[in-house]
Amino acid sequence: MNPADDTRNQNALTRRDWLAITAVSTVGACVPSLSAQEVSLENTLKSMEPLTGAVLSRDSLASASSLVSVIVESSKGLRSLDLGEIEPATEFQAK
Amino acid sequence: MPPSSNELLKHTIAELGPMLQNRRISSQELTTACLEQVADLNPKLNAFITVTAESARKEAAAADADIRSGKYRGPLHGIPISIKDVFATRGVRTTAGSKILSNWIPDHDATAVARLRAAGAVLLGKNHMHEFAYGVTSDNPHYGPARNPWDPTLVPGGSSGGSGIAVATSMSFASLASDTGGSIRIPSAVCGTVGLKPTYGRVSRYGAVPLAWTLDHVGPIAKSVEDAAILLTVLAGHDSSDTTTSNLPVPNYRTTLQATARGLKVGVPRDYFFEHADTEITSAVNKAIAGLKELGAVVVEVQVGDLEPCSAAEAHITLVEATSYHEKHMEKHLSEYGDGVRTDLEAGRFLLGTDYVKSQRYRSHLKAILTEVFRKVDVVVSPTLPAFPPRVGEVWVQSGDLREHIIDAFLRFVIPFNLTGFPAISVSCGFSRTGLPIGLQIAAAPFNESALLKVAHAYERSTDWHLRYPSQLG
Repeated sequence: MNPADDTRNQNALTRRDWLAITAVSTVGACVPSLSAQEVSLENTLKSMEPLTGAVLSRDSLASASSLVSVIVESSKGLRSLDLGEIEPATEFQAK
Repeated sequence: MPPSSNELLKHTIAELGPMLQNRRISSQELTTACLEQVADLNPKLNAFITVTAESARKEAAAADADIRSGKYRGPLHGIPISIKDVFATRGVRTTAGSKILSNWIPDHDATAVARLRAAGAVLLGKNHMHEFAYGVTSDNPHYGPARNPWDPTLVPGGSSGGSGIAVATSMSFASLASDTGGSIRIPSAVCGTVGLKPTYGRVSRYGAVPLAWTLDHVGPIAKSVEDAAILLTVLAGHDSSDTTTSNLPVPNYRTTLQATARGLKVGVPRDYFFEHADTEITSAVNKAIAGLKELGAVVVEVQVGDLEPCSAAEAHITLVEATSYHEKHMEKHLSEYGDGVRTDLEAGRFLLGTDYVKSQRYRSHLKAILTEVFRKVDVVVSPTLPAFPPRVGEVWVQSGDLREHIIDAFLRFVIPFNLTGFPAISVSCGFSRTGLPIGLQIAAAPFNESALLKVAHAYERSTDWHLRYPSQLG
């Protein structure tokens, strides 16, 4: 059974779900078809090749863009958090 | 009558120290016993990638000679231990569980390794791990899966899976390990050992192959809390090679241990840390909490609020920093990574800088929340994990009412203490109906390892969970 199909007692698909799906199946064979957002993201990632210098294979591009999509989706709580004037953490200062 | 090999293996470092110092036993006897255990169990459980039998025997002989001539260095002198294969070890293959580094033989020791050598420990070999420490199953495509010593069909947890197995089965008496997203505490909870992630900056990270600089910690996996205290005392302290290390003096953590928890305030954060967890696990943890009360601890409920953003913050920091470190390898060796790690690394290029910075700001926010909690209590306790380990090759677990991926499940309760750098330990607090260990996580304020170790030790001494051994040991 494709874990993505099982919604019983399951939280929204997380980034790791996509890792599991793509790790055990070939892209295009068992992976659910990509949403419009993911296709758009895949195209965006592909267009960044001159910037990153990384030319990803078709399979790698699909799994990387799926993972990015899910991470961004699951980051809504973090993004909506109002942290006021809080600055990025540094390590503990040596005392 | 001298103890048999099997009896020797059941001792802790704390018990063996006086026996070695008084020459009732020798380091060579201990090392031989461990190496025989490795020869017997490693083919089945895959706890070691490299076994350094010849050099271990030489080191043991040298330790015995030193002890005979009165040059006893302390409680680790002559004790056989192992090292997670993420740490540079001079003259010894150091793979980080990868194909890319499969032939790397460092010309230097990681600082933590050097400190263990200086303390006289005998190095048995390099423990198996998840590839580049980038996972929680220790199912490694290059070196095979490591296997749970309580049920070899299951995973041992990770990324320090080999370390957890080695200590649980007495293949070594302790292991040096690392923890970026729970990688000391997860295999310790799964394998039934003690696993200590110290405060960020307490132990040098120099010489450990990085996963995420912000979140990487170094610490011991041991058979007992007292052993963990002994190891921390040796490992801790400022290192000029790691500028994040603290100048705070290092106490003798062992002498701060006591058999009672009287006078200590234990916080229980039922919001977040007890949600979506297997009821056998929460039941065992609740019994442990009751046990702490009987030991004189004052137990109070504390609020930590909604820690849901922890998962996203960890994802951004880990993926971006890991990709940043691995860029040099990815240029020429991309195909040599395992599929899962490669996908993570590729995805790390494309996450937004603004989300990464937001995650770093969230860390400040979380530190403030937990600092406030630790104004009221000395430690907080929780389950280490919400679910039991799956079979090797499987990645779904049942966390009470929630079916989730093992990474989401196993990171959930441990990651707040990587994000903040606050110290946390996992100790055994029971077993499931099917005989699997259950871990109790105890956390404290920065550099307050003493309080954490006191509570952990008092609890451990009041139970016998730490005395149980997997049936392979006999």
